[in-house]
Parts: sequence; C-alpha cells; structure tokens
Amino acid sequence: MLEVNRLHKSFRNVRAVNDLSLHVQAGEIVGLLGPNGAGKTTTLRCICGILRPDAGQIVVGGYDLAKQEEQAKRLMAFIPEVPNPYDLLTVREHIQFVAMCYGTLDAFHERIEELLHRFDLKEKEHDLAATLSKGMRQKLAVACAFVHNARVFLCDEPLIGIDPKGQHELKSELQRLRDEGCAILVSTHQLDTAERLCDRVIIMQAGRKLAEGTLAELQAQAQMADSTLEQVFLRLTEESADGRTVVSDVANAGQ
Amino acid sequence: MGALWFLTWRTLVNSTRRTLRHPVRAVVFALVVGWFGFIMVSNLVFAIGARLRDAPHLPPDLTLISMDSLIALIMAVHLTMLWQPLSPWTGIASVPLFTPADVNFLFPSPQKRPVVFFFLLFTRGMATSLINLLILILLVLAVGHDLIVNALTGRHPSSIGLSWVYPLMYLLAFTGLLFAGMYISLREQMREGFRRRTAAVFWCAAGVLAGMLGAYGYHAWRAGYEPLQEVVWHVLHNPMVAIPLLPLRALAEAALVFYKGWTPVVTAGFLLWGGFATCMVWLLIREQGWLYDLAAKMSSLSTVYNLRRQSPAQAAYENVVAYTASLGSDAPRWRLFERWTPQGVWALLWCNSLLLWRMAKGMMLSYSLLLSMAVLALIVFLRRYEPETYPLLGVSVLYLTAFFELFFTQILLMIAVRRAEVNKSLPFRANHILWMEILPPSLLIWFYTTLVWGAFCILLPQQWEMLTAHYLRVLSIVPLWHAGMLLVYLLLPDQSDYTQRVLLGILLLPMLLLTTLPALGTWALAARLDLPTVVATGLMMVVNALATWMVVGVAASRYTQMNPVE
Repeated sequence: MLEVNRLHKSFRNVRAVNDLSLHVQAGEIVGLLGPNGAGKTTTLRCICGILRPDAGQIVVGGYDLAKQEEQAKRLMAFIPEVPNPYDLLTVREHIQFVAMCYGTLDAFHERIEELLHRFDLKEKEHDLAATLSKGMRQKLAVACAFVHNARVFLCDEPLIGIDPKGQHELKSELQRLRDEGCAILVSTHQLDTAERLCDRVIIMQAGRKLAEGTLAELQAQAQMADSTLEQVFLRLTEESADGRTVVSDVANAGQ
Repeated sequence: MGALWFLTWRTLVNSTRRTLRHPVRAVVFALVVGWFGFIMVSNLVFAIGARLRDAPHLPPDLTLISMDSLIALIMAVHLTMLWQPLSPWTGIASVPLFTPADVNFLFPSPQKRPVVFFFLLFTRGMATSLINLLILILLVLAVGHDLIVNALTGRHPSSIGLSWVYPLMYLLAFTGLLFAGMYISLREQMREGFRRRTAAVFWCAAGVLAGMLGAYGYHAWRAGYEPLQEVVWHVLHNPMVAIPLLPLRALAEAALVFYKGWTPVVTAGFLLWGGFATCMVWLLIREQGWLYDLAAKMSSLSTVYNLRRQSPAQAAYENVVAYTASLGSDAPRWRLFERWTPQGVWALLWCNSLLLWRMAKGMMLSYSLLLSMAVLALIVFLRRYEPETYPLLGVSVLYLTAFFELFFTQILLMIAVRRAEVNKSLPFRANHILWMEILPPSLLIWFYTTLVWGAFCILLPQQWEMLTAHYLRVLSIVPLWHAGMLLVYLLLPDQSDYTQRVLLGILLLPMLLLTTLPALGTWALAARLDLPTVVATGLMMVVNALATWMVVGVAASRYTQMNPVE
C-alpha cells in the first residue's frame, strides 16, 4: 500500500533522511522509531507531500506521489506531531474544512456527529480552535484525519498530549483500521505502545534505517532474546552511535 | 478552491465575532466603524449637496503644493510602504503568510499546490496591503473632503471614473514585490547566499541612484534653480534618474490620476508592474515543487509557540533571561554592555537593549547613514535660499525623525507583547516590566534625535537654546508615544487575527495624536502665559512624564489580564 524507495532529504548541509526505503502493507501497523533528530518527522512529511524529497520514490496505493500527487494524497491522512489547527475556525468548521479539501463533504455530513462523540469534541463543537487545550487540539487533528476515507495513515506522535481515555480510543481506532485493511505508519517515542500496537518497527538513526522487523527479528539482530523493545532499541542505537565513533576515530587516525 | 474560500470566509466571520464578544474591543470596533461610516456618509451628503448647488469649495487655481513636489512626496511615501511586501526577503515577516495549520491540514490534502500557495500568499498578503490602503483612504477622507467634492463637482479636469487606477496599480506592485520576496527566499533555501548576493546588488543600485539624485540635485542647485520645487522638478525630469524611478513615479501619478488625468507614465507603470508581477509568478510556478518546503519553513516562525521555540531572537532572549536569573555567572555578553551588570528589574532593560542591538544593528547603521545624508542634503539645499527657516527646519527634522522611527520601533512593541507570557512569570510588577519594554525603543529614538540635534547645533550654534528646548521635549514625548502604542498592542494582541490587525492599524495613529495632546495643551498654556522657554520645556517634560506614568499604569493592568487566546 505504501512504498518508499531510496528517499533522500537534506536541509542545506544537514542530511535529514539518507537513502531510506520502507514499505507498509495493507492491514499492517508499522512503527517508526528513533532518537530525536533521526528524521522520522521529515520522512512522514515527505511521504504526505508537505516536503519534496531530493531523491527517491514514494508510491501510495500504486500512485507515484511525484507524478500523481492528487490521487496519492487522496488515499492518505496525516496526524501531525504538534496540533496547530486554524485558530479562527470552530471545531465543526475545522473538520468541515478538511472534508472540503478532500472533496468528501457528503462523508462529513454523514460522519460528523459520530466523530464529535467518539473524540469527546461534541461539547466544544462551536468553540474556536484557539480556545482548545493541547489535548483537545490533538483530538481535533485526529478527528480531521478520519473524515475522509483514507487507506494510508501517517501518524506523527499521535498519542502525545491526549488523556488516557483518548489514547485508548485512538489505539483501538488504529487497530480497527488495520483490521479493515488500512496501512498505518506511526512515529512514536513510546516504545511500550509501539511494542503492543505495531506489527513491525523500523528504527532510524541520523536519517538512515538502522533496523527493521518484528520484535522477534529485532531481538535476534540485537542478540537479546526475551528482551523488551525498549532494551533492543537502546542496544541497537547505542551500538550504532559507537560504530560511528569508531569509524570517525579510524578516519582521524588515517589523517 | 471552495475549501480555501470557506477557510477565508469563516476566518473573517469568526474574527469579527471574537472581537465583538470582547467588551473593550467591541467598543473600539463600534467606534471605528461608526467613525468610518460617518465620514463616508457625510462626504457623500456634502458631495451631493455641492453637486446640486454647483458651488466650488476651493478656488480652481488654488495651489497648495506644486505637482512635482507632490509627486516627489508620494514617491517617497511609496518607497517606505513598498518594503512591507518584500518582508519575506528579509526573513522577518511581520504578518504570518503561512501557518503551521496550513502545513498540517492543507498541504497534505489533494488541493493543487500552486493554487494553495498563491491563494494563501495573495489573500494574506493582500489583507496587509488592504489595511494600508484602508488607512490611506480614511486619512484622505478625513482631510481631503474639499478636494473630493471639487472632483465630484467637475471642478477638476479628470473624471472620478479613473479612481480604480491607483488601487489596481498598487495591487500589481504589491503582488509583484511580495512574489519577488518569496522567490528570493526560495532560492536562498535552495542555495545559501542568494539572499546576501541579491541584497548586495540591490544596495549597490540604491547607492548609485542616491548618488545620482544627490549629484543632479547639487548640479541643479549650483545652476541656480530655485526654489526647492524647481530643483525637485529638474532632478525628476533628468532621464538618468527618471528611468530607474519610473515604477515609483507611475505609482505616484496613478495616485494623482484623480486630478492629473491619465498620463503615459501611468501606462508605462501598468506595463512595468504588470510585467514584473507576471514574471515573478512564472518564476515561482517553475519551482512549484519546492513551494510547500518554503511555506513550511516560513510557517515555523508564525506562532507564539513556535516563535518561542525556534526564533533565534526569542531563544537569545530566553538565554539572557536565564542568565539574569543566575546573576553572577559570567555568560558571554556584548562588549557594549560589558561593564553594566544590572540587578533586578533593570536586568530586563539590559536584556531588551541587548536584543534590540542584536536584532537591529545592521538596520541602525543604514538608518544612521541615510538620516545623516538626508539632513545634510536638506541643509545644503535650504541654506542658500531661506536662512530664516533654519531653526524651523531643525525643529521639524527633530520631530519627524522621532515620529518616523516609530514605524520601526513598533515592531519591538509587538515582540514585547509576544514575550508577555515569559515576562509575566518573572518576579516583577507589570508596570515595571512595561517600563523596561518601552525604554529600549525610546533609547533608540533618543540616539537618533541626539544625532540630529547635535548636527543642527553645530550648524546653527546661535540657535542652540531653542533647538535644545525642542530636543528635550522630543525626548520626553517618545516614551509616552511608545506607552500609548503598547497599550493598543495589548488591547489587540493577536496579529494573526484580521479584525484585530485592522483595528490596530487604524488606532495607532489616533493614539499617537492622543498622547501628543498633553504636550500640546501645555505648550498652548505656556504660550498664553508667556512663560520662558526653559520653564515651558520643563513643564512639558513633567507633563509628558506624568502622562507616560499614567498610560503605563493603564497598560499594566491590561498586561496582567492579557490572554492572546480570548
């Protein structure tokens, strides 16, 4: 459903994403893990068409994002890390606006009441987004992602700022979408959640893919059987950092 | 497109509603709308009455100011106004053209990329432009009643039907420059150093042009042209100056088309500005794949939240606050401030002054040079003809320097409001914090005013007492102006809200006039009582200080209650 091939993205002299390839199949939740600055958000922003990759190919549901941008975007929904909605739209208007952007106003009329109730937004329906708390803003962002019939969900730290009930709702919703055959790519720092929610994880560091697989495959790669994802993650990322140091030292010695 | 229009329309409606729900803003809104309506209706009524009576309000041969001088003046006004759309070039857009909400919700949607980009750029940029136009129209309506009536009654040669000319040309100029600013930012993002090279070319060209203006002006003056209007006429008609200044002249003639009629320069202006805007659109569309990248980058500086997190200035500010909180640490500081280690609330003054210096040092240097050149040019030109006007000229330049500097320093007040959340957490009283916010911009204006006063005192030593009296009066009124403007900013703190921005643009000038009233009243009283200059000046300074203290007090109560979200 989602294929990323040899993605490169730099900001001036900083390589944010370096030769990254990944795929997410229909009916699969893939976790995108990595320390701060690993390139997770940039990867998601490239996939959903906010940033243009320097090189590489992104294919969504068979549509090449570079050539068939509109068709590819119609299949995707993006939940941002920092919920910054339009301050001067009400909650209801905001969801309506997103529905209009995707050309699914009919779906909006059918689903708005259900979405408002499911994400506890009914009482705030006519409040301006500027007056919402951070958690409510995040719920609004999530509700907006569900207003059109997306098949690929890109979630950038979707659980941050949401209360436990909301987190539970969202996780259940993502699992339901997986069961319905949607492809979901979730960037998160919450490793215990990733362990329970994701079918597979991709660990990134310094813009590169460090490891990929199910928990069992990662445990085998890290030679840490019966360890948690957190322990595996720490081992792999520390090893990688040490490796860079060694390479750097060797290079310096050579000079 | 429907979604974009929906966003714009609902934003405007909700913005107005939000303003009307806030009691103070609702009153201000009602007053402004009422005043605007009154001016419009009264002008129409008078115009219709005049048309019926067919009575001229002004003598047909009345000349308030020569046409060439008026053109030169309007060109100068445009030169200052047209910087605003170029603001993306400088990297500091006072108005958010793109927001994080666009990045999160609009850019991932299947809307067409160039449509989204140009729509947002155009509508948000245009909102700013229209605010400028609206303020100009209000001012013209307020002061130009007789001129309008004369035009309506056919006393002037041109038709009122040409009144669309200026707004259209202004629109083309504004659009072209806004897109040019975006294109420069885009190229800078793709290849570092482009902005610097463009700026170097621009400043070189501006320097050559200024040099030619000065040289031809001096030549005309030496050739015996007089009075000043003749010199201006001669310079403006010199092809070497006229051709590079043609776009500005076209705007000026378009503004006067009401009286002057359609001229070839207006035609040339439409061709030039239209061609320029089209060219910029073409260049941006050529790079359309990168437009969202640029917009995403620009959006990161548009919210208070992100400003606090990502703006270098804000980061520097917070570093300095952290430093002052741990007094005694030896954090690296600017050399100018090396020996000054203030304690308590004075640390805020140090901090704000340091930030002002860091933010504006380049601009301050350029402004100092420009100001010095302008003062020298004025003195050189006027010295030969009207010696009795020197003192008057000196005083006028003192006041005008202070007044026009406010256009720059008001940005600092906007930043002061943005950092209110940080400052309110500090253990200082609100009025003390506000004093520390208005003093740094005041210090900046005092600095320039001192330069002007020094220059005129050297040139006119016999008039030093009078010049010093006025210099002290200017010094005392500057903090009051800033306090008044800060009060308006505190009343209308959300500059991403269209209604608040319009109200702010309209209210700043009346607030400046209002804060000048105590000084004017004192001056009138002193003149009536025939008080000595020293006493009158002292009295005026005391009155200004008291008025500042009062306005700061009012602003402080607003500052403690201010919530940008309300």
